[in-house]
Amino acid sequence: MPKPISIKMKKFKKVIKEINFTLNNIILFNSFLNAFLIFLIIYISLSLFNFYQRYALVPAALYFIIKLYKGIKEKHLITVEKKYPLLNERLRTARDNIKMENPVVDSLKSDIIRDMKHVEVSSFINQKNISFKTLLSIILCFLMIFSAPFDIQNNVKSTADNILDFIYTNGGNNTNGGKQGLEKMTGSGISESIFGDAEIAQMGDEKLDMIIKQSGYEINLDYAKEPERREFEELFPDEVFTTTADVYEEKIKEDQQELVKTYFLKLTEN
Amino acid sequence: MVKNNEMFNSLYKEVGKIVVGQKEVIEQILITVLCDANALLEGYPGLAKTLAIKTMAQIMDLKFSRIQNTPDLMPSDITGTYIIEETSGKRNFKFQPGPIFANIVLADEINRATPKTQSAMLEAMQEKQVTVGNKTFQLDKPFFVLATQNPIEQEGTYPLPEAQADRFLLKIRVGYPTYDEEVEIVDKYAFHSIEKKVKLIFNKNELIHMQELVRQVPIANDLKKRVVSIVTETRKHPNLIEYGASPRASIGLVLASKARALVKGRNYVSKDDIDTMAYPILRHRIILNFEAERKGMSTDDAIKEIISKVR
Repeated sequence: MPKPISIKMKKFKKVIKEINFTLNNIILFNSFLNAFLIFLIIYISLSLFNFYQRYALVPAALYFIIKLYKGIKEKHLITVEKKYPLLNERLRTARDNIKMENPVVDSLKSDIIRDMKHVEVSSFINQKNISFKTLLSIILCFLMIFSAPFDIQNNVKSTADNILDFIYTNGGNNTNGGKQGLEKMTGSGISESIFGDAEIAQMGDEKLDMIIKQSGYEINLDYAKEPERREFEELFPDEVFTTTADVYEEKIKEDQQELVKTYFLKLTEN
Repeated sequence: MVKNNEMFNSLYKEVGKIVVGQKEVIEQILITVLCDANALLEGYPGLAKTLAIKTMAQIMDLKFSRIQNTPDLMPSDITGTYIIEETSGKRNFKFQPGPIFANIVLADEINRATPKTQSAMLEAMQEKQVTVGNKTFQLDKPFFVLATQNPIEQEGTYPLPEAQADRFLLKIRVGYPTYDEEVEIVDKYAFHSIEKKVKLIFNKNELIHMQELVRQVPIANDLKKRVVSIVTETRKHPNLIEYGASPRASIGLVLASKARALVKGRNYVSKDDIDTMAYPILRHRIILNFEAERKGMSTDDAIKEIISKVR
């Protein structure tokens, strides 16, 4: 018959569970915050070069998974022992001898349960570090939001063009400078902005003479023409004609046709 | 735990009335007693080895006997022998127990006895029994042999064979007292002949209970592995050590560490217990090679190097 589990052992098991749960939560939060920060930094960097921003998710997700896996695998009791020298070696010893029950082990478990009351969750959280990371995340988020209307990626390109132009024209040695140089560096050739490109605003075969402002998305109606009134011919062209549709005819015997007719007349009257 | 700690503190206090200093030696003798094992004390003459053991026996209310080893000492002088006894006109052989039939046996200058006599103690030390003729006698519990030997005057001595040295749990080094301690010794013993009585701290049954407690002290798995790593490491240094320690050393190190934890008032074994007890456990179980000896290395130096290598 198996020995009944003592209250002390149950309490101690609860303590160990609590430690693991709390530290796992802290690791989860830290990993998420770090991964989010990595995502933001990579996203902004990719935006500057007008590269696929959604790829920023890949390194962030990879980091999150690896960090979380490593953190959960970590020996939490050693982390607690390092923070609280009072518990040094005792926690591990009690955990390793959790199934052992004798006066010495029981007294050790009781001591640990008593001393664990002094352990504070906040001691495992690096407030300075987390505050800094949170602040940095907020700043980066705002940066992303406010930079959107300014078309940063194109501006960066044009600024880079200017700088490269300056470098190559003044240096005079390299003929492959300016915008072409940048294109070589970034690997993309054509500006893909649709704003300000008059040719894109078309209706049918006709080009519309209007300007779309890049920053405000406003349409300047001053350049819009008056709408043209068009007259259409009243007669239909020859090729437009109609044909009669086939009518469904049931084969009813002549002597019964009168009966059917009367039946339907009655129906319509009702 | 608190009660035990108080007991050990009172023990130190009582021994301190007779023996000045030598705290570490007293502690290691106590550890040996708590482990229900034997110890070999090595030190120069006049360092209170015998006095310390005798005082410990008095404090624990144990039957104490002393064997002064000499080259002409016979095994029967230790174990006892059959004598002819005449009762109601009939002559019978009666067993006369030797000094080994005690709780604490002090084998003074054990290396002066012949190997034959030394080995007479082997059975008693290991099996806690004595065989004389064709009859085996069980020894009283608790039973331990505390032997002493001098590192000098090696002429005419018989160094303990490795097999016998391995039977001793600890080899305790008895060092010189400090300057202040020596002044105190002079004050205590040079002016009056003192016959100080010591109080009884715990009895036989309490001692047996504490021996049971020692085995109950828990040890963490990583510390258990550390013990095995230290002992096995002694076999991996052929450039330093000719013969390493046996698995008996691993068992002894765990047990001695547990006893030290209890003596220090802890209910768990710490890394410090293992590292401290590694010296007395291993020093008589490893044999340095010629190269190490040529460099002037001692066994303690070799142990220190081994401990530093084990993480």
